[in-house]
Amino acid sequence: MKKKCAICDGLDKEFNLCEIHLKAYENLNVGYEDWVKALNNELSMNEYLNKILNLQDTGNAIREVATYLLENNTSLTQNE
Amino acid sequence: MSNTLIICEKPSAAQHIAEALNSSKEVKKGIKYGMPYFRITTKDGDAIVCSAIGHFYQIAPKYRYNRRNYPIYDLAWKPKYLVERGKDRQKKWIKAIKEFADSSDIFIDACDYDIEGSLIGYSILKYACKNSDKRARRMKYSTLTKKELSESYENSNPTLNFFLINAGICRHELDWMYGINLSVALTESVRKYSKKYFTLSTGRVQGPTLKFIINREKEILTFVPLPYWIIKVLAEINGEVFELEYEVDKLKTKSSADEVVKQSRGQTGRIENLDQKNFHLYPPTPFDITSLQIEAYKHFRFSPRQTLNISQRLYLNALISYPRTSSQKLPASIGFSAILNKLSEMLEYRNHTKKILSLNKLSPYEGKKSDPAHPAIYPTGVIPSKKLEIKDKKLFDLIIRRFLATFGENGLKQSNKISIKEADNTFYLRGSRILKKGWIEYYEPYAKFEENLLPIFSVGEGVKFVRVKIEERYTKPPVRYNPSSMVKLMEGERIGTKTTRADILDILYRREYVKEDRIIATPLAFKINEILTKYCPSITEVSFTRELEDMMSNIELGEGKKEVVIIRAIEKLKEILGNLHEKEIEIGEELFDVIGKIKLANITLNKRCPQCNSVLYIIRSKKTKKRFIGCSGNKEKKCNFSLPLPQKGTLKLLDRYCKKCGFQLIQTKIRGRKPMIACSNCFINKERKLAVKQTTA
Repeated sequence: MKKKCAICDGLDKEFNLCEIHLKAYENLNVGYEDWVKALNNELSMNEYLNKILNLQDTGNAIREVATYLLENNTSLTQNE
Repeated sequence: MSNTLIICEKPSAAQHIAEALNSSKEVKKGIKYGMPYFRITTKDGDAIVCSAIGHFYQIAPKYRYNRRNYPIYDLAWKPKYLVERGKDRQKKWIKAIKEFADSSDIFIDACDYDIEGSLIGYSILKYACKNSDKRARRMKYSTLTKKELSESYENSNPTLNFFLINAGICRHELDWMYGINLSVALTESVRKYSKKYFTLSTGRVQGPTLKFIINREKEILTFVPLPYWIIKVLAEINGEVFELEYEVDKLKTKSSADEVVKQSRGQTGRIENLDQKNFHLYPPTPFDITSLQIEAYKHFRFSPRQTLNISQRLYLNALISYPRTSSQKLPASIGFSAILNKLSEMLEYRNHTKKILSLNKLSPYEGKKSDPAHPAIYPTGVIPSKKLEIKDKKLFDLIIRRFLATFGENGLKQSNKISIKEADNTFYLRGSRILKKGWIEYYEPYAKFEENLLPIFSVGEGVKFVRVKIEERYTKPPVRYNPSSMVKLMEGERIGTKTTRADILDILYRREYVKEDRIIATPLAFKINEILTKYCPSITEVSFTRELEDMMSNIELGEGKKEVVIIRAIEKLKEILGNLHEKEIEIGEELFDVIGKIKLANITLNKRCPQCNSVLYIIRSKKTKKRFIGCSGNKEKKCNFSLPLPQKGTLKLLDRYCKKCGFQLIQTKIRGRKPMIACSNCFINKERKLAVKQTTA
């Protein structure tokens, strides 16, 4: 049985995310560190995700991952 | 006296050549089996000037074959009318040329002097003119002006350029082998899995091109904007207010930005340094086809294909030189003074040409790129005999002004940077102005430089900071490619040729792999790229196709053999196709899944049914075969909502909505007509109102 990405129907191999959403998730994590540094540690993960969702240039895959994280209040990279 | 047969690439070129070479009173025009030809007299005797209409012969499988069977490596040149449907005209023209060839003893190839032109002339001479390719002469010209054509006839080469011809044959064979075999492999995998036909394609240039677009799309999809801050300062110097820049243009932390504001607000700084530099603005280089395509897109939004077509039209009207060139050089032999004098007859250029002609020496500013066959694109000096179409006129004007600009002197730009110090912070005030226009004058309105004039300041002068504030901004994702930047990228990566790059992009649009002017990759493109990368990565890599391009360039220069290139390409292709064949069903399943989703998305409206809120689709009635917008709640909710649609043409649901009623707009495209955008909802209301009016009347 092929495993499907948790966000879209794309296939995945090792993680429960397809290639694009996995990359988006990684970029979101790296981005969070940069945002925290920029705002002097005054930013929670939820605030960050909400801020990102309100920006015009946020990538669509990032939006989908951010929305998923906010709705499910979960982490994605662990194997199920 | 002998009979000469002169073969040209297009009827309009044949007419120019006939008129240029004729020494009798008039050119006799005739039509044989629908093909126009010209009977003329030259100093060598009677001659017939006839023409092709593109390729009359093309690569095809050597033996009868079923399109579903692949791979095919045995290829042969065959008349196009035997390979493609609807090519009866070509059949008649070949018959006409064959009959003229029977009564001719001298053969001259006067097709365009490039790979395609050489191949068109060669195949006609070989297959329609009794193998006369070995004894034919070759005319070489870059403009269709009388002078150049006469000289080209007088000095025609005693043989055809077989280096160019072999390079052309090699390119056609490779493109066929890769394009057809790989495309059939993809299409067949979907058909074998689903029993349904859907045209898919890839090729040795298409694959890497699509990969560039996909990679950019991935960067955009996974882009996280990062915040940064800029310091905005309004400062007063001698009663005048200016906007200053902070020494660091992007501050990465809010605290550092706050600190600058805190330190500088309400303070008075001092002018510490006045820096002034002059820059030479060098003229632009003459146009090669790629730079013309880029510039035409920048100023007129012409696609590379459009620019190619328009420039070809201008060339066939003898207004400009041959456009499919990679050269950025203009040799003096084209006659600069004569061209400039002729251009003076056009009022809008007269002042410029006068100035240029008054220069001591006419020497264009040339670029690095060269082309052994043709110079850069330049106006011939011929004045249009009839009013040009708007787009043709625009491109013609661009080419003339660019030609003039290359003769201009360097421009001179002065830039001023005033450094203002306040405590530990430095701010800058920048200004610039054009001291000498030089070539810019000739290239306006296509060259623009913004000026920002500053008054005279002195060191030590006080600068009062009136307002200091920070602005939060966010980093931007990389920009999408457009047709022009894509062509530029392909040229930089050395994939495709100057003439095929625009075609490759067109195919990507036609196959619905990409859409929009700012190129967006569709889900189908992602899937194709994913499959190719997974099963045959080399077809998406630039390195392999670049290796083949380099080998073909060597053939063109007489330094390589086409057989070696073809053997190398077949070896690689066998490996690629083997992998695809092995995983056919798996690939078919993956592709069919995406195709199904795309098909459904193409017929699903964004707006919901106003009666039952169900999803609306474009539906074709099984009974009447007519199409309409129908409601998916028809069965369950008994909703009978429907709207009419045009019955002819291709429909496309747009991401635009009616200004009157807010309903989704639909575009109808009928071949040869302007696309029509309409609102089905407003259309039906209008019809109903009209019906009520008629009833009451």
